[in-house]
Amino acid sequence: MSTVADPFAFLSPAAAEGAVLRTPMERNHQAAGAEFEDRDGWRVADYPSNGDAPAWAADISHHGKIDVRGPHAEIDRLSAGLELGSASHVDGVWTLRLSPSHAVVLCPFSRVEQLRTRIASESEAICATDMTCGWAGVMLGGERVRDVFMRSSSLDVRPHRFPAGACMAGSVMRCGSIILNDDGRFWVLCGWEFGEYMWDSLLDAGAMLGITPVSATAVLRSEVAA
Amino acid sequence: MADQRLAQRQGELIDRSQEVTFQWEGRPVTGYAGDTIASALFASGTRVFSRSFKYHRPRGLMCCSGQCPNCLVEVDGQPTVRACMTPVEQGMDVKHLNAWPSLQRDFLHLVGRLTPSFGMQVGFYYKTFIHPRRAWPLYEKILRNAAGLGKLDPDHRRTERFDKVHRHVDVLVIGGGEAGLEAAAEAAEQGRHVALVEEGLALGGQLAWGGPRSNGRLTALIDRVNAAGVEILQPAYAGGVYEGLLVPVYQGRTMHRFRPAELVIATGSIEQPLVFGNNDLPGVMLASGARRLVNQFRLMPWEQAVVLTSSDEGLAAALDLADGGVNVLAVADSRRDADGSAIEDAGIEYLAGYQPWQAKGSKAVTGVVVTRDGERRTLACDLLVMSGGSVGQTALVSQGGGGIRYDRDQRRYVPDALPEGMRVVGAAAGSAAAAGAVPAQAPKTGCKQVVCFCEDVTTKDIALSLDEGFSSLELSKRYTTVTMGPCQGRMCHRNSGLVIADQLGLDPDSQRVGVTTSRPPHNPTSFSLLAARGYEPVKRTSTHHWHAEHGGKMLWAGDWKRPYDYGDGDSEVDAVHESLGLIDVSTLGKLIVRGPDAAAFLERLYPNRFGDMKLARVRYGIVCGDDGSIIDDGTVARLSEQEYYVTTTSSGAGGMEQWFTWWNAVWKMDCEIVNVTSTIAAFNLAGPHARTALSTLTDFDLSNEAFPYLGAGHAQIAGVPCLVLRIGFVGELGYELHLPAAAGEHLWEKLMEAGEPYAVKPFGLEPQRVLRLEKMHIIVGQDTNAESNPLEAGMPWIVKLDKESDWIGRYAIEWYKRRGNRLTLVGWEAQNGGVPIEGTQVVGADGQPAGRITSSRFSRRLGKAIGIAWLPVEQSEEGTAIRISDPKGSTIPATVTHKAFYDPDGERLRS
Amino acid sequence: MSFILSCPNCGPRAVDEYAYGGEVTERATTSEDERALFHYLYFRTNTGGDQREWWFHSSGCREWFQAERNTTRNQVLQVARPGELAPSREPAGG
Repeated sequence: MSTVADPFAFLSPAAAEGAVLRTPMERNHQAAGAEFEDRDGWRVADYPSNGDAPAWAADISHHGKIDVRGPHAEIDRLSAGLELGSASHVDGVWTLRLSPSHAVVLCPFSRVEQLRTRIASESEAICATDMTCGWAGVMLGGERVRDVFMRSSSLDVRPHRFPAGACMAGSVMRCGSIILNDDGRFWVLCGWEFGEYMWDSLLDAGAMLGITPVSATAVLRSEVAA
Repeated sequence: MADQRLAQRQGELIDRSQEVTFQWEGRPVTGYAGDTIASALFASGTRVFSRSFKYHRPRGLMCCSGQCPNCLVEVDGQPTVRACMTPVEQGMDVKHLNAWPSLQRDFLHLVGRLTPSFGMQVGFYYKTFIHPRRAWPLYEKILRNAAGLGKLDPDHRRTERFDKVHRHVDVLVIGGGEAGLEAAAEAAEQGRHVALVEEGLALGGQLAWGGPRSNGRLTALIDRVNAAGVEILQPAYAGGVYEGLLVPVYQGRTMHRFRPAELVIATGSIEQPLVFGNNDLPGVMLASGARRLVNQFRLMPWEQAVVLTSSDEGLAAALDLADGGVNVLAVADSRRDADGSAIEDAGIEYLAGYQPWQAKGSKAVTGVVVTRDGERRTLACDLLVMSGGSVGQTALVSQGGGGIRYDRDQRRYVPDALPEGMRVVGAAAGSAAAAGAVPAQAPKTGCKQVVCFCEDVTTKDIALSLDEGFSSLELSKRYTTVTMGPCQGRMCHRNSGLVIADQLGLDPDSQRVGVTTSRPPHNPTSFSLLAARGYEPVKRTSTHHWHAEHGGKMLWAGDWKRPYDYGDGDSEVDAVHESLGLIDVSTLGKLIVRGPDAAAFLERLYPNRFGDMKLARVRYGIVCGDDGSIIDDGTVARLSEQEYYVTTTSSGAGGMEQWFTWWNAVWKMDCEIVNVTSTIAAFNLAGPHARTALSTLTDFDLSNEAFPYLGAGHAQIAGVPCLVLRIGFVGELGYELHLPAAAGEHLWEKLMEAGEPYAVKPFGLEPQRVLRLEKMHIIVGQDTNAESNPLEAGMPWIVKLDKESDWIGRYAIEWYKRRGNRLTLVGWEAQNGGVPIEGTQVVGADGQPAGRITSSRFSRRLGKAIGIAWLPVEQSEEGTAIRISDPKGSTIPATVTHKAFYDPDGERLRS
Repeated sequence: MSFILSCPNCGPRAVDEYAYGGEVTERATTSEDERALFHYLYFRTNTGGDQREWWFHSSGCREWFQAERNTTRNQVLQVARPGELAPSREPAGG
C-alpha cells in the first residue's frame, strides 16, 4: 500500500528540498536585466523600479495558491459565506469564491502547505489541491491599470462592476484566467504554461501607457510586510 | 488664397490664422487649419479629385460628408482615404488613386469613349475576355490595372502601432447630429456613462452645416453635452453593429470594441443624388455638399448655380445657398404642385414640374437641360445642385438585428422591430420633412446616367441585368455590383431600387422593390486596424528554453511549442534503444479524480476496469465516446482507495477535462475532478541505463522487484517530489516522472547530469514517433478516427462488457460486437525499401482501395519501413501480402503483422 | 457569433468564453433497440427555435451549465446549473 501520507505531494513545490524553483517568466526577467533573489527556494526577479509608474506589472507566480472544491455547504462554511465573485482578505490570506462548489485560496508560499493541510482536514468532502504551479500570476497596478486591462480582455472591470474585493474567472489575452481586484491592483492568474505569453502580452499592451516591470516583493502585501 | 474664401462668418470650421501646407500630386498646396483635404484642394482650384472605377470619368466633390466615393485619395501611402473627412496636416503627401498618367489626362478614359455603343457594360469582362481561355492571365493583368481603387504596396511594413481597446459603457450613441447630442445629454444627465461617436469634423450635423441661423442652438447643445460629461470620440466611426450590440469604433489608430448596455443609433439621413445624363460631372453636387463648402469652409468659387430637386429639402438648400452668397439662377422642381413661392420671393426663377435631363460639359459642368412634357430648357451654370430628397441611414440598425419597413407617408424605409437595447433617434428613425418628396424617374438619355458612383453602374447596366434574368434587387446587385462599393449603397441604394421598379413596372412607392442586406464594414477600414494586436496564446513547458537553447527545433504541436528533435533524430532514437534518452512530456493532460465515488466514476467513463486496481499501480486505458469510438487514451494510476491520477493525450487534455466534468455534471457522483495539466511537469527517462542513472538521484528503491513494470510510486528525486510511473511508450525500460512545474528545469538539468556517464540524449517528438511505432503503440487521432472502435482497433482486451455498471460507449460497442468486425488495425512491414506516405491507400487485388495507411516511418533499427494500417478483416491475417500505393506510380509490397516490430514480448520494458 | 451568454456562476460574458456542448438529449441505455440507440447517437433535432443545450464556461469557471436559447435569434431565454432549467414555455424541438 502507499507509503506516502499525501498521495498528491508531487503537486507541491513546497515539498521540494534544495531544488531551484522558477516562474515561467524567468527568461523575460533575465532579458530585462533583472536581478534574482532567493525566496523560499524560488528565484524571484528584482527590478529597480517600484510601484509608482503609471502602470506596472509584477510576476507573482511564486505566491501560494490552493484550489478548493467540495459540496456547496462545505465551501460556504469554509469561505464564511462568501458571495460568488467576491473575495475576502484575512491575515494575509485571500479566499476567492468562483462557484458554489469552488474557491481559490491565495497565501504566501511559506504557508501554503500548512494551510492546505488545515483546509483538507476541515472535512472529508473537501478536496484541497496545491495549485501554486497551476497558475502563473501577474499583478497589474498603477493609475492606468484599467487601461492596460481593457487592452487585454473584454471583461467589464469598471469600478462599479468590479470593485475592490471582487474576483472573477474569465478570458484575459484569450487565456482562461482568474482576476482579483486587490484594492485597485489586479491579480491575473493564468495557466503556468501561459505565463511567459501572458507577461509578454501584458507588457506589450501596456507599452503605450508606460508600463514598467516591478519586483513582486515591492507590491505583494504579504512580502512587503515580511 | 484668402481671396477665394468668403468673408468670415460664425459656424465656419477653418482657422484663418493658421496655414497648413501639404503635397498634392507632388505640388505644395496651402490651406487653413480646420480644412479637410478636400476643402483645401477645392480652395486651391482642384475640381477633379478622382477617376471613376471602370470608365475613368473625371469626378469632383459631391457630398463633402464621406458618403460618396468621389474624393477617395491616397494619403501617405494609404489608399482609399476620404479627402472630405480627413483634416489637413502639415506635410502630408496626398495623391490621386486610379488615373494614368494623371487625373487631368487619364489615358484609360478612352476605354469608355472608344466603345460608346457597347461600353463596358455589366458582365463585359466575363463575356468578352473568356476566349481564348489561355489568355485570361494576360487579360487579368491588364484589367486589374484598369479597374479598382488604388494600389496596395505588398512590401509595405507597418511601423506604427495600432491599438485595440475593449470598452463597456451604459450608452453608446452613434452620430453627433442634433438627435444624437440630445439623446447623449439626456442619458448622461441621468447619471449614465455615455460615449458618442461622430465621424465628421464638426458636431451638430445639419445644425453645423445648415447655415448660421442654427449656430446658437448648436452651441447650447454642445455645452449641455459637455456639462453632462458625455465622452465624445471624434472623428471616429462605427464600423458595424454585430450580434449582442458589439460595435467596433475606429478612431485614428485605435479600434474601440464597444459593448454598450444601450445602443442609440442617430446616424441621420443621407441626401440622394438624382439620376440624369452625365450626373457625375465635376460641378454636379448634392445640395448638402455645396452647403458644407459654403457654410463651413466659406468657399464660393462659382459664377452661377442651378438647383434640381424633387423635395422641399432642395428648396431650403437653394435659399441657404443664396443666403451664403451663391448666385442661384433657377430651381427646377420635378414636382408640379409644390409651393415655390419662397424661391420666387428670393428672386430665383422657379421651374415647377421640370425634370433633369442631362448635364452639359466634358470635364466640368457648363449647363443643364431640364424638361417638362417634352419641352426642353437649357440653363447655363457651373454649379449644378441636386437634391433627390433623403433616406434614413438605417444600415447599422439592420446590421444590429433591427427590422426595416417601407413607410408610405414618409416615402422611405424606417426602422421597425428593434432588438433589445437598441434605440433609433432623429432622421434615421424617420422624418416628416421627407414627406413631400417624389421618387423621381430617371430619364432615358443617350449619355451615361450613373446610379452607383463607386462601381460605375448606370441605368443601362441595371436594365441589362434585369433583361438577362437577374430579376430582383438582390440578384441585380450581385451581377452589377451596385451598392457593393466603398459607399455601401449610401448613394445608390434608393436610386437602384427606383430604376428596378421602373423597369419591372413595380410601384416604386411600396415595399415590393425591397432592400439589400447591409453588412459590415460600414466604412472603408484599414486592415491594420482590424489586425490591431491579435493574440495568439502560446503554451510553453517549464523546460521550453532549455530545449531551445540546446538545439531543439521548436514547432507548434497543438497550442504548445515542442522540440521536433534536437538536430539528429536518428541518433536520438539510438540513444533510447542503446543507452539513455530524456523527453519532456509535460504536455500530457493530467487529471485528479478523488472522492468516495472515484473508482465507480472511472468505471462508468472507461471501457476498462479500475475498481480492481491495486494501489500504487498504473494501467493503460482508452476513453470512448458513447458511439463506441476511441476519443482518447492514457494511463490511470491508483494512488489511494479514493484517489486516481489520470493522464490524457496532449491534444486531448482540454477535451478530456470537459468530458470528465460533463459526465460528472450529468451523474452528480461524489467525486471531484481537478485538472492539474498546468501544475505538473512530466519527463520520461528511457533506455537500458534509466534505472542506474535515476538511482544516483534518489533513495527510492527502483529495483525491478520493488518497483516493477506498471508500478506507481512517490520519490524525492534531486530534492523534487515526484510521482514515478513505470511505463514504456517508447519501448525501453522507462520512468515517467511527474513533478511540480516550478522545479521542472531544475530536475531536467539534474537528470541530464545523472545521464552524462551514459551519453544521455534529449529526444524530440519525431524520434518518439519512430520509437512508439516500433512498438506498434497507436496515436489516437492519427491511427484512429471518429469511426474507430476498440474491437476493430485491436484492443478487445480493454473492453469489459461484463462490467456490472453501465459505461460510456457500452451499447454501441455491444452492437459492434454483434455485428462483427469489418476493419482491423494492424501493423505492416515494407518489403522493398520504399517508405509509404501516411494517409495513402492499400491497393486490393482488384486494383481498388482496400485499406488506409495511418502511420509510416523508416526504422533504422529494423532496416525497413514499418507502420500501421486499417485493413478489411479478410485481408488482415498475420503474414498477408499487401500492396501500398505510392505517389510515384508503382506500389510498395508489404506484409501484415500483428506483433510489435521491436521487442514483441515486452522483455525490455519489464527488465 | 458575438452574443452575450450568462454563466450561472460568473454572470454575462461574450459567447467566445464558452464551449458549446450540444443539445440536451436523453441517453439510450440499451443496444437491443437499435433504432433508439442510433437515434440517440447520430440524430439531432437541430431546432430552429427554442432549444435546451449544454454550455461549458471554458475560459471562466470551467463548469457546465444548461441554457435555453432561441437558435434563430441567439436569444438566451434562461440559464441554470445542470438539471435545474425551468420548464419551457412551449415544448422544445418540433
